[in-house]
Formats: sequence, C-alpha cells, structure tokens
Amino acid sequence: MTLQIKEIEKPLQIWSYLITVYNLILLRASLDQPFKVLNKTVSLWNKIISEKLPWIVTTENAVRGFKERIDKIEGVQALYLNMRGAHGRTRSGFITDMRVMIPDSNRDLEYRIYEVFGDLLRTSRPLLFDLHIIKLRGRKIEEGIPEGFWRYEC
Amino acid sequence: MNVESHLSKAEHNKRFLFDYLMGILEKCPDWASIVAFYSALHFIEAFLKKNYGKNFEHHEERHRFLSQNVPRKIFSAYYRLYDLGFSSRYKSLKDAPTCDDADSAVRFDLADVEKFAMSRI
Repeated sequence: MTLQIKEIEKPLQIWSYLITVYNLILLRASLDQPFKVLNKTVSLWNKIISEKLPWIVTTENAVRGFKERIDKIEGVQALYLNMRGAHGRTRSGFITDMRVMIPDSNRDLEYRIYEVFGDLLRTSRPLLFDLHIIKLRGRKIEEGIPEGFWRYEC
Repeated sequence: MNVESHLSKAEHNKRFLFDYLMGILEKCPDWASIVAFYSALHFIEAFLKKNYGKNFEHHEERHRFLSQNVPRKIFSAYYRLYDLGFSSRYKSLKDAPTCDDADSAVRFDLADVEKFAMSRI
C-alpha cells in the first residue's frame, strides 16, 4: 500500500491515504476492543470503501494509461484531475474531470489528444470521464487551471 | 425528440450560424462556436436515435457511446466542437475560441460531423 501511495497523485492519493488511515484505525480498534469494532459505523465505512476502492484503482490505471500516451504528444504540458459525484449515472458513482494544458490553439494537436481520450472512453467502461483542453496563451499553468484540480504525474 | 426534430433543430442552428454569426465572426467567435456545437449535437442525436434508438441526457454518457460507435476522426471533430463550446460558455475570454478556432470548427469539424450523420440517416 505504501509503495502504491507514492506513485498516485492527488486526488486519488487522498483516497489512498484515507483508506490506509482508516485501515490502521480499524486495526488498532480491533486490537483494543475486539468485540466493539463491528458496530454500524464501521459496517457503513466498510461498505463504502469496499464499493469504491475497486473503481478508484480502475480509474487510476485508466488515467495512468492516458497520461503515458499524451506525454508522447509534443506540446502537451500537463494533466490535471478532479472528481465529482455522479450518483446513479455510473457504477463508480463519480466522474473524473480532466484538463490537459497546451500552449495555444492547434487543431492537429487537439485532435491527437481527443483521439487518445476517445480510446480511454472506449476501453474503460463503465467509468465516465470529461476532458477539456486549456490553452495557456502566455499564462502560467497555475493561472489557467480551475480551482480544485490536482496535477497528475506518473 | 425524434430524428426529424433533431434534424430540424440542427438545420435551424446551422442557418443562424451561417446567416448571421459567420458574417460577424471577428466579434463573436465564442457564440459561433456555441451554435456550431449545438448544430452538431442535434446531427449526432439524430444519428444516435436513427441507428441505436438512443437519447442521451448527459454529455459524458453520449461521448462514451460515440467513442465506441463513430470513427475516431468524427469523435475528435465532435469533441472539439463540444470543448470549444464549453470554453465559450463557462470560461474567461482568455480561454475563449479565437476566430481561427471558430472558423475551422464550423468549416471542418461541423461539416464532417454533419456529413457523417447524414450519410447514416
């Protein structure tokens, strides 16, 4: 788990940390009070984590593959991610928002990125993603990225 | 909406685009991009309805379906229109499409999407 955390960037990293911390709390609680751990709260958290964790891992793998491919495209400067709830629309319960930064408008470059994104969608059902390209046009990356997004590196 | 309704809406948007917005493109590349996208959206919706009986409520689900059911070039053309429209609607003027962006979106991306959809309806 520790090795995996080092490779995962926020916001997936946050999930991993939370899961690790939760597991440690659970472990300690089970040692201190072995018969009190399985209360309703723990059951609820167990349910949430066991349902979400597989989707987080699948998402991480899909995003990693996408990042590796767009890194090979000249002109791509960075990938940023955010996650938003999409209850009832997908089994994972969330949509991964992606922002790819490029220097300026370039139809050929944009097409290449959209093609890779199309491949991501095609191969990662039932996950949902949304992608937008941000043209920096002389701005620093930090000036172009919306609030709440985290830089993804792999 | 049925296929005919989607096509009427697509043509209606396209007429407004060519009759008015393309003539003043320097002043409103953002609005031209938005209308181009909504024309493309209805061409694609007509194609989806005719061939798969589908209506999509959300962009993300529509994109996922398109990624599996249209050629990559058409997916990219449609997605570029979607992205330019999004930047026009929700982002700052610094992020808005340029005249060249809007012009190529209308003349190439929208034209390709329309041609593809109409060839399958």
